[in-house]
Amino acid sequence: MSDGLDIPVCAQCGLAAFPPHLACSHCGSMSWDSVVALTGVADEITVLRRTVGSDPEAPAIALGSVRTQAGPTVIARLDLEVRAHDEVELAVKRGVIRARIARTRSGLRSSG
Amino acid sequence: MIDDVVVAGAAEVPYIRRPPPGVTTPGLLAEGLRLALESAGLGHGDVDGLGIAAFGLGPDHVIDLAWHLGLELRWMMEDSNGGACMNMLAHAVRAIEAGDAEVIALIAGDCLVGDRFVELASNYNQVTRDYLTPLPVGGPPALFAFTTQRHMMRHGLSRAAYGHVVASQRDWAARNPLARYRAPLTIEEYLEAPMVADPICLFDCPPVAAGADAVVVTRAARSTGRRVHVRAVGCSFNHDQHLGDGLSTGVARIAPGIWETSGIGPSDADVISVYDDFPVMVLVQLQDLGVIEDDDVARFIVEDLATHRVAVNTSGGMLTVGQCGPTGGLHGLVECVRQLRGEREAGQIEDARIAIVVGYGMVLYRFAACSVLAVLEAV
Repeated sequence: MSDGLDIPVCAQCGLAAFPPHLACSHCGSMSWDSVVALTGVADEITVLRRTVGSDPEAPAIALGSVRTQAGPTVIARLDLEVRAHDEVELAVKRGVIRARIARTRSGLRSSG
Repeated sequence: MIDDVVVAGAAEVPYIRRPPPGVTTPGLLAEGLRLALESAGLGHGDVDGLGIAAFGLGPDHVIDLAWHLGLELRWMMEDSNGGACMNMLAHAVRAIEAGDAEVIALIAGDCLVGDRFVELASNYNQVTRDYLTPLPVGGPPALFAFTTQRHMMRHGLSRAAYGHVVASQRDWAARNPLARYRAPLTIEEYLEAPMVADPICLFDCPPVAAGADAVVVTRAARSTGRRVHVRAVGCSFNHDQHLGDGLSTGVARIAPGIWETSGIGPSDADVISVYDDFPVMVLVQLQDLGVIEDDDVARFIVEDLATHRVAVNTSGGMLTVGQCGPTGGLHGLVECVRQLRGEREAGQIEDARIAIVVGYGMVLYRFAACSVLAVLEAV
């Protein structure tokens, strides 16, 4: 599990974009840096209860549209206690972007 | 304005929720071709252009299908823009104007149900595979749950507002024998429906099905019956580079040019079709078109949509007919052409002359990136 979520930032104009792109939509640069977004705000949340082909007995899961401190909005798996507009901590665990209620940290960190 | 290109025929292969063994994507596309040619009064040998949208055609491509259909072609395209596959109409119009083809069949269809639908939803694109499927998201309802919440917040709407969208389309569906869900829906029934991803409920989701939609595009001189001219058609891809909130589509970007080209505006339309996966997108696209003039969405729903004063999705839309891969991209076009040709019997809009059709598709991550807008006029 890694703390935070890597957010690509255009090396030329500073536009943050997620998911990663080949070229910056603002200036066309193909050079990217990144920052680590440690936190964000869960702007909207939903409870996914069923999908086509899913096991009807499978437990519901919480998902959120999380506006990261770096700017881009990401879709994350939420801890069930997260409510809309909560500040959340971001992490990546086994390839899954996760968010839980923020407790101690806030903001951005330079990557590397 | 485009002068000489018409949609000469339109047909829908009835959608099936549980297709029996033997029903295949190529077979549905072939049936779509047959029915559309029959509608146009043209024959197999007249076709020299073919455009196909189908997620389930692989490993074949359009040339394989054309071969199996016995078609010799001068023009061909394979579209992958899902609910915006009506962009094939833009290409076909230009091809006919340029003389590259004379009679073009455009067909969207699929037989992707059950596990094949899950496979499609899980691997829709690389971003879905990498960032959404692992969560899991399980397809678009959860993503449009967020969009719906943003829309509710911005316009002060309750869930019932979206229920009115569905109920309105159910009322239209009652007059469409090809619709699957034709019984009236009360707002109370809508509000009590099982949740899929709050606030998206079962009635907000088009039922997955197998079927096809098809049109035939040609010069006016080749058409029979009432001529349905394509007055303008335009496309928008990546209008906001996914930096926005999903509450505006590329239609807002292209609509002014379409009105100018066609000399027709949103208030001129006798019938409107907008992509309806999900109800929130019906309202968003109508806003982008300028149909909701005062941007008072709540008023529009009650006074214009629910009363059918503005005729929107008169087939009942995908919400009642179903969704077969990319067919939603042509379903509205087929419905509007049939309306303008006076072929809709119980569902006919009296004296329908002008139609506005919108396609919307390809969810890249949080919302879709492709839009198509066409203006049709019957002469």
